[in-house]
Amino acid sequence: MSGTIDRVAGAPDAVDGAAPSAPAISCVGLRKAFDGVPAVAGVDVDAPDGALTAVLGPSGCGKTTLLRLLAGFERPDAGTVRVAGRVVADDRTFVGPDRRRIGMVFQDYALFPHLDVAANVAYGLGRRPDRDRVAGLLDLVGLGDVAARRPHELSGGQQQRVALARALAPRPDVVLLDEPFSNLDASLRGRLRRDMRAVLLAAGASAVLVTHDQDEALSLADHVVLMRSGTVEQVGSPDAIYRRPATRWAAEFVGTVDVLPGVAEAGRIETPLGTVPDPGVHRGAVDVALRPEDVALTVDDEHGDAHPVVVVAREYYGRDQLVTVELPDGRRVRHRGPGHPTWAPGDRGHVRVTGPVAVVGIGMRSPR
Amino acid sequence: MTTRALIAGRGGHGPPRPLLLVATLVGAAVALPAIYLLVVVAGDLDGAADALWRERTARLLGQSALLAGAVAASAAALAVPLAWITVCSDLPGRRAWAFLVTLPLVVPSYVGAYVLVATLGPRGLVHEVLAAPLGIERLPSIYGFVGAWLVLTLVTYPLVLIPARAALRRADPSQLEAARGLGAGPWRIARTVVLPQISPAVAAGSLIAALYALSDFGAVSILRFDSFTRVIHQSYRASFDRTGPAVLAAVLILLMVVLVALEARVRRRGGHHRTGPGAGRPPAPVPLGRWRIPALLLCGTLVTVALVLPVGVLAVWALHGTETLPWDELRAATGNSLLTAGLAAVIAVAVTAPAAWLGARHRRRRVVRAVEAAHHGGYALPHIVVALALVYFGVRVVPWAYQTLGMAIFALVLLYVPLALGVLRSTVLQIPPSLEEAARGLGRSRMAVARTVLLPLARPGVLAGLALVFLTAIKELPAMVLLAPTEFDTLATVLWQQTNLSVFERAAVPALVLLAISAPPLALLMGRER
Amino acid sequence: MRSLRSSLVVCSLLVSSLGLAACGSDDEDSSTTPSASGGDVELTVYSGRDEELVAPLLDRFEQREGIKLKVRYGDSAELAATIREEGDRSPADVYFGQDAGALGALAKGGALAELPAETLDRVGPGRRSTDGRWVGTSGRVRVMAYDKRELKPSDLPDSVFGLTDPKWKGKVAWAPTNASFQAFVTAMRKIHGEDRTAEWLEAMKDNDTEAYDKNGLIRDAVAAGEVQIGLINHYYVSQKRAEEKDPEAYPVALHFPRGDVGSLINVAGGGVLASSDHQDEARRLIDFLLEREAQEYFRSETAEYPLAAGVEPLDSLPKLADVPQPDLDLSDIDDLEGTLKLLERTGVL
Repeated sequence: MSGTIDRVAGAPDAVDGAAPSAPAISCVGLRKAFDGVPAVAGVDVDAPDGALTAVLGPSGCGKTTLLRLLAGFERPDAGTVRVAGRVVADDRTFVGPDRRRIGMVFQDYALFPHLDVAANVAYGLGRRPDRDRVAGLLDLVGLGDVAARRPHELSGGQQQRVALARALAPRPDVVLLDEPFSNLDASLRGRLRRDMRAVLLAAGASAVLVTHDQDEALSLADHVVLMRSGTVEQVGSPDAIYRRPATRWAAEFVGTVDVLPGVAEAGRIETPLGTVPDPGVHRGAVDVALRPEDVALTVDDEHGDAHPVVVVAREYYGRDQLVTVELPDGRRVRHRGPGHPTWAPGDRGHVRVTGPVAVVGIGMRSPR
Repeated sequence: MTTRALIAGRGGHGPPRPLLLVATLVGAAVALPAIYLLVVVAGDLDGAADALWRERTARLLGQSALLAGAVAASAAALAVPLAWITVCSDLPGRRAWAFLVTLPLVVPSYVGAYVLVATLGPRGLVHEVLAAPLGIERLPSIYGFVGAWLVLTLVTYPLVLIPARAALRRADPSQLEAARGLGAGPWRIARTVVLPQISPAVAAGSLIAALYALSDFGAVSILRFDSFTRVIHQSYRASFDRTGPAVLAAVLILLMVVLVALEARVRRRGGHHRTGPGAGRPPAPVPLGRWRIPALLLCGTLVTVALVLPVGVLAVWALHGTETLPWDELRAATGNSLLTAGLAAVIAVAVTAPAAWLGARHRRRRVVRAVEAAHHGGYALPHIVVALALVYFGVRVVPWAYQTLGMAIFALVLLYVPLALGVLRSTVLQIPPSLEEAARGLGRSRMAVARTVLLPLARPGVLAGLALVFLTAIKELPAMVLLAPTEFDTLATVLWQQTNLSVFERAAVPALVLLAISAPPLALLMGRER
Repeated sequence: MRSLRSSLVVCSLLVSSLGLAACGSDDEDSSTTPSASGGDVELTVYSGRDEELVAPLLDRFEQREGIKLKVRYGDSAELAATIREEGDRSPADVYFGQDAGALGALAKGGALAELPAETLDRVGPGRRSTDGRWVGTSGRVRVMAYDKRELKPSDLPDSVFGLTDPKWKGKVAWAPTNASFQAFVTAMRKIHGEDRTAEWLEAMKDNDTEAYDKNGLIRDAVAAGEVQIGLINHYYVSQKRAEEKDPEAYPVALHFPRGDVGSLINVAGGGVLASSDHQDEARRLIDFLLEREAQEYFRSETAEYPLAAGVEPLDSLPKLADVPQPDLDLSDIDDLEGTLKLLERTGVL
């Protein structure tokens, strides 16, 4: 496996000072409560320079509040925020949103309805905006031909790109995006994600994206921050988040997972689906997370190490299918595989583990 | 929970201090009459207690509250359908109708009352033309509650109509279209989509109408309805006693506080920002279908009763006017009216802006609510009380400004700040906060954001506020009589001098001039609708 | 474009009003600063009497005496209340009011200076304050105004006490909020006592007496046939009659009841403010109002009773000496407070 070391919540490694390699954004011990209800309850997180960081979490996990704290629309109750190494909020300092050098793309885009597209983009460029810069940005987002239109004359996707161009115009240190795709058709999202990624790359901007959509986070981001109830659950590359969830909750929130009890001993874990390699160094009772795509389902026991099962349910997605099977002891696991062959409830088959597992709990309970 | 979290509330970091300071200062200025009442009552506590615990005080409280509530309800009931018809429907000539149905705003309540007596009075027009030939000896009396309620409704419904129309014009058309797409008829759309969108504006307007009814003197005195204001005037006239009227006025303030609280409750229900991305798309007119005739009838009847009738009666009186009119005096008075009302409108709107913004953006905070409530300061008070309060403070605190034009305009601003507040606040409420945040995030200061984003987007509300204050202030009487420079006549004071002589024929001309010069600003302001 | 138009709206509002009013206001702003003593003395008058009625008279004073007048017109009681709020900083030099009640209240509150005896002596006793702080300048008489289409003079009662008869039920109008009416009730209390007055008020109320706010409205109600008799001051009818093309055709006539307080004479009058820096000039104005020219003006222009300089009232009115008067000093009818309480207690107010 790769040599990436995953950081888990509570392990800050923020660097003081404005070194060239300072993170685009760094926050330490960030807290914010509304009417006594904590929304952000001690967050330490970095967004690496030049990268796209996704803050992923369910509704109400505090991710939007975190974004607003970064942007300066909220004042933290405690903690420090740095932008490109510069402290913008701590116990003594509070730099307003107008002086943070942060661009923001709002969920509703917040385009100025009284200004045309070009004027919206030029808004952050001061009283005498550089026309070439505006034209260049509009070309970059592919909207050169609608510069004179009003926002309400644009489609949702066009509005989103105007919002992005407007945020990029003043060359901010970092761009914050609040659920930028939630108002768009599912069919549009894929293309717009790629477009936006390309625009951000071309602009050389660091970005923080807030989303509740795991596909968006995994496909778009270099770096994912998984949030839960106002705290950071896990930080890492999309691959690490998916492949090596640090907790059972993280495993279940990102993608589909079945959790099986196991017993670890000398680099191996004994599970109801057989013995699998231990991804770490564990001993004793553990919980093992298993992705459906790492479970093979065949009619026959081809290698002699499979377990007989009965199919109980099938969800068909065209390119693939998710099949739920039941082991003789009544335990259920899921298999994801190609859309063919067609499985139906009642079919008999065999499963075996083909990919790596993740350990998401230690010594919580005994196996069986 | 940290203390800061307690203070901060939901609106994030607290309201900007300088803005809060300005709003507090304005609120304190507007609350001067209330402070004056405290001074008077504190100076004679025994007399005050004596005046308070009279059976009459309770009776007046009930009657005034009833009148205010009835006027607010009926004004809203008229204004809401009118607003919808003139903004959203395909009524033929809806812009002309919009102008005409707003115009009764410029009819002073005392003129409306005289006209009511002249038409429906015991020997009025209706009796002469209709009832007498049919052998009806006496028409049902229009004196008392019914008459006062009718006249005040007809002169105050534009106070609800103007903000309601401004709100509708800023409302999110996609919701309307969604409702139409779902097959909802005009009535269902009105009830389920339009009302919720404009309820803060309607509540604010109804509050103003209720406060107007509480403070009105003209209509209640002519139509002989015993309200607080009429009795306060009587006490001033008859007894030279400060304490009695001051106590009644203080009770009136309590009534006002209750009304303001009620309005705030309506306003707190639900958010009012447009939901979808983008803004400012003009809505497509909703076809009225078979409701077209009733809609036309409603507009036509109102215009006839509230506008054509008063103007007609005034015109007839004016033709009967025996004396040649002092045209020079009238011209000077017209200029003075324009000057005072114009300045009052601009200043009132400007100084109210901070409180309106705070009220919209930080409404959950107690300090903001207190400051906002203070902005309603003297509106429910009879204007004689407000004027005397300013006499008291003016002569003691700013003797150099006493009986100057500045003082008179200050009085007008103080009286009409609540008009501007309601309209401006509901306008700000409809501007999504994210627009301001986006602008701030793009490196602009608060002032720059106010200038480049808020002001352009709030323009319909700002203009509606200017129109409301201008058109109401131009009718103002007691403040001008007591506080304007000596020998400074406005149309309203000229009008008053004529009616005081009970020579209505001669009062008719200044009244018509007042109506005539009020119409162009209204037309101009409404003409800029798209 | 849009912003340009709306700025134009605002600017035109402002500019036009500034421009239009500049002529009307500039020269008047100086009125607040006390004028320099010396040659050009300027007096500030608070007049509860209407501009229409008294402005020509005051203009005449300016011409004759070379003293400039700044006149603030308003309601008698409101202006008196204003002086009370202003205290000794009042810019007013002279108060000219519509009724003895307001004058009496100002005198009681110490706002008025004592007038010289020769001024006071120009009018008869009872037409001035006993402490010499104000003087009546013209008289008005409480009368019954009646609809002569419906009633003959002989039909009318000789006393207001007769109006409680059921035959007048719903046919009489009064103005309980009016200062003149209240002065009348105060006089009735003095002459007949509290109980008899209360009885009368209650009986009138039970007889469905119609309440109006103003004397003029009562006169018009009689003229319109809404009621048959109105308790008002005489000149409302006299003035209106004089304006008619055919005065004889005017349906409202006057009846001067002979008994009780029926024809009480009240006064309009003036006083000099104690805080005035121009006592001499202010007294000259008061004196002027009592001279022949002014008294004749009151007779002919306002149809009031002249009180001084031997001027007789209009021919259509009985002579002052022939108006039956209760034995009462006007200075004694200052207990408005008590009258108000009685009016409230009996439910009339």
